Amino acid sequence: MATFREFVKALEEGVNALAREQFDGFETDAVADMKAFLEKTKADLQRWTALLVAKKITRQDFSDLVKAKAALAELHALTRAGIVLIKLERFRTGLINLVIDTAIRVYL
Amino acid sequence: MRLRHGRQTAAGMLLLLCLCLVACAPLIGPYSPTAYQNATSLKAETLALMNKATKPFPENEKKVEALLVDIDKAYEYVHGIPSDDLSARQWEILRQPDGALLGRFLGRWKSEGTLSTVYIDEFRGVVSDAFDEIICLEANKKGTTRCSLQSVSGGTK
Repeated sequence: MATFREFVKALEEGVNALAREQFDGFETDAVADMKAFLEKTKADLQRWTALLVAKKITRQDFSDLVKAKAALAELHALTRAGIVLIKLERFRTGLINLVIDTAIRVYL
Repeated sequence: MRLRHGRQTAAGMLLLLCLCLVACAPLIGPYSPTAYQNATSLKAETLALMNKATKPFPENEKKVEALLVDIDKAYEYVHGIPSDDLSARQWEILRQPDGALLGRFLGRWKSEGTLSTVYIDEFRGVVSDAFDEIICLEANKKGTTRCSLQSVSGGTK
């Protein structure tokens, strides 16, 4: 019969593969996403400033748009936080299945 | 004998870990087709209604009220899903009457009667992106998607 050590070794390999599947490239994606958001924000602010200077929008309009953009940034942060939780939840579910499948494969 | 006892302890700890993993509440609510549908259809309705802000507010008051009721319903639906606090918070920010998004736009339309086309177009872009954030989070619950990145790097309109 297989030993507990063999079971743990098989489990470790599975956990590494699972972690790679869920989190590989995640940091790169997050950085690229944040850069894209900042670029878009910069472009919007430049356009709104130009519209303000050209008197196509009022100071109140400009102020509203900047505040709306700040609220959007909060929504964006919530999306990113949610995506992290989604990945952790998938990892957790994968881990449960992995423990069960590995035990069956090693012992039975 | 001692080795067998050690293995049993380790196996017991592993079993406890598994039970804890299974028993713990999910970190985030599951994908909801209804929540997704609410967000996509309300995005279209909201942007269409915002376009009408060049016309006097009283002409559209009933439509605005109906839209706000539908947005409240969408919020309440998500708020009722266990572990869906992040999505509920997103709806809350979007709908707040004294907030910087819909509350601000509709409040100004009501108080000023009409709004300028440039302001409407620019504000619509931000509100569109706000809905996209809600839609993106819901879509990611179903499967990994880079919708958020596409949303923010795409056009404003």
